[in-house]
Amino acid sequence: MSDVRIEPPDTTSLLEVRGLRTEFVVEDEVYRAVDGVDLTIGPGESVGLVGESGSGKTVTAMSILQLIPDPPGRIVGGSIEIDGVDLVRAPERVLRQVRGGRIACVFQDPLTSLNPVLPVGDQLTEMMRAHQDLDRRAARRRARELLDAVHIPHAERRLEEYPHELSGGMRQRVMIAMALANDPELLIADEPTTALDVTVQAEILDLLRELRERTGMSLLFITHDFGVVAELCDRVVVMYAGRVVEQAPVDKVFADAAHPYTRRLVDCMPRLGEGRRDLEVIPGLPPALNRLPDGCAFAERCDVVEEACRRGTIALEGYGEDRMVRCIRPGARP
Amino acid sequence: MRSYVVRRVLQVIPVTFGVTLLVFAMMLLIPGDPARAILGSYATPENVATLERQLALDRPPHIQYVTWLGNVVTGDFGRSYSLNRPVLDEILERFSATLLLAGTALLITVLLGLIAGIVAAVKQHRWQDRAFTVGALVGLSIPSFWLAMIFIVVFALGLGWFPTSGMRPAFGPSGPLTVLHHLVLPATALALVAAGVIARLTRSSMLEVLRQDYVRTATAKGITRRSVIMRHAFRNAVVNVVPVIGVQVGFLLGGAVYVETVFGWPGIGRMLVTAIGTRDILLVQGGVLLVAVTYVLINLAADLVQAALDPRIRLG
Ligand SMILES: Nc1ncnc2c1ncn2[C@@H]1O[C@H](COP(=O)(O)OP(=O)(O)OP(=O)(O)O)[C@@H](O)[C@H]1O
Ligand SMILES: [Mg+2]
Repeated sequence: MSDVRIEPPDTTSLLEVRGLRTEFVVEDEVYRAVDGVDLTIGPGESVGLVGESGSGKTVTAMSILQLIPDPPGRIVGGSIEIDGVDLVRAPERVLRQVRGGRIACVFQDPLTSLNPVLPVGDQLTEMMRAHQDLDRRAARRRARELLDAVHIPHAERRLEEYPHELSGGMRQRVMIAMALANDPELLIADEPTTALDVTVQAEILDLLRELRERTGMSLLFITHDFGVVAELCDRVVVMYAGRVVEQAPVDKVFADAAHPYTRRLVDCMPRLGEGRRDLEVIPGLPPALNRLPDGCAFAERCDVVEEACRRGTIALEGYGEDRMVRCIRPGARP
Repeated sequence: MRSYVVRRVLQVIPVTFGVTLLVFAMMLLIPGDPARAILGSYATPENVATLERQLALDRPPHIQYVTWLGNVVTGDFGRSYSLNRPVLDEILERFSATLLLAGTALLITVLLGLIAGIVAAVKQHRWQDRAFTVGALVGLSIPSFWLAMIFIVVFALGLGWFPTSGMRPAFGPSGPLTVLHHLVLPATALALVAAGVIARLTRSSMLEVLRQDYVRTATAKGITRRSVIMRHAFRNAVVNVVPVIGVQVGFLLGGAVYVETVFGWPGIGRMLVTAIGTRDILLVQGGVLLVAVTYVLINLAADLVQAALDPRIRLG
């Protein structure tokens, strides 16, 4: 657990996502990848976004910075506010200030996420010069400092190198350095270690924790891995089939998960270093996003399902003092 | 980079060797007595004998080849009987006219092809892309000699905007405007098909690249859409386009034969047509060799440019 204090969501939130709906239209079929997601991140808070493959974690993150490719994707509802500015409706100029400025991203695969034909130094300085009034030399100096900050040795020489000349872990460090370039208030990290070797994964997680403690930035950490959430996050948001099914402080989720899906995820939690003994252990598959059923989307796979679960709309409701659950039988055990 | 350059330059050697073999073999294919063919029908027996000795025609073919190559390398392409002047002088003069035409066409090809391809990719599914698709289809299905004739009928004879034929040397006494005036129609006729090819390739590479993660990263940096498209997407897409531009130069040089004939452009293409008609063997040989070597060198240049643009090629 990190030592950053949990802020109550409503009073001083940095980012507020409300009712976000993002759809993809492929061959006349509408896929509701994100179907009414609420998400709040306070200043300095670290939030884990967890869920199986295809549950809409990446689409949620990309929607925040308006990076959904259109076509086929489109944000069809909801709002994403940072300091009262709604990014869904903000003009390009405002978006540009937020992207890479107040909110920065680190993606899953650092090899494909870096431009293969530009030296990493140029990619770093470009990020700074988009937001700060720096001349070439100052940007260069700052780029070297950033590589030092993410513990890349021989920074000066590395600046001249191209992504394919670096190791996977090194590339992800470059991505992180780039994300930090303008001292963002929020870092979105979308499975930043999935593409890396196990030993390197631990190093990158250590680095993220260290940087967060040093800078006090907020973190939205997307992962399959509950173990990582336990180490890195204050609060966890669990997604299933494009919806948030539970959100709660990390310790409470581990002690007693309210939603049956969360409980199953926690039960099959892999330990770091044990490889990807993944979340697939829950039998069955999530519903197709173009044919979402009535009621609870998890009903088919749930071990405490009852008749009422398959009817109407089940809302995300308060549970205890600081938790939210989308379940009519929260906390039920088989 | 250096080792890549050395490797790529060394590859030119066998290719050039093959080219010289083929060009030399043209001589062997002439029915009857080559010396007589080279000198034309009014040659005296003494002249024929002298030439046979010079070209080692009485010796086996590989000696003939070495002799011929030795002459060519020292700039001695022989003498054209039909023009009664050294082949080298003639082909260089004609080639400079072709370079002016094909070079201008290349410029049009590259500018038009790249810009149209980028716009079509960025505006995918919009009217710009639809217009482009139709335009490219039409453009690609029209042969350049036919386009040349249509241009003459419409823009020269009909509207009278441009001369029907003729050429002014780039560095001659007439001003650049007159040179350009004579260039516009033939260069455009020559360029359009190649521009269509480049545009289609640029469009598809851009569409491919625009889907890549690093383009998303670039957008997430908060730089302008223009920088994302040019500095990140196009900079990667063009790597695949450059070698094809090199190949298109071959089509431009080949297409120049028709376009030069239609527009009365005194280039090497038209020279070759005439030389084949008058069976001026040495002129044909010299012309073909020059064009072929140019093509090889341009493709070398294209590959080197590609390597300069893509570190994975030059360092890999
Ligand atoms: N470019 C796209 N085109 C069409 N559909 C898409 C696209 N991107 C996402 N989707 C849809 O959105 C759904 C959710 O995808 P998303 O990438 O958000 O899942 P995820 O939770 O990040 O999964 P993973 O853990 O595998 O990264 C996908 O199942 C797919 O149906
Ligand atoms: Mg994802």
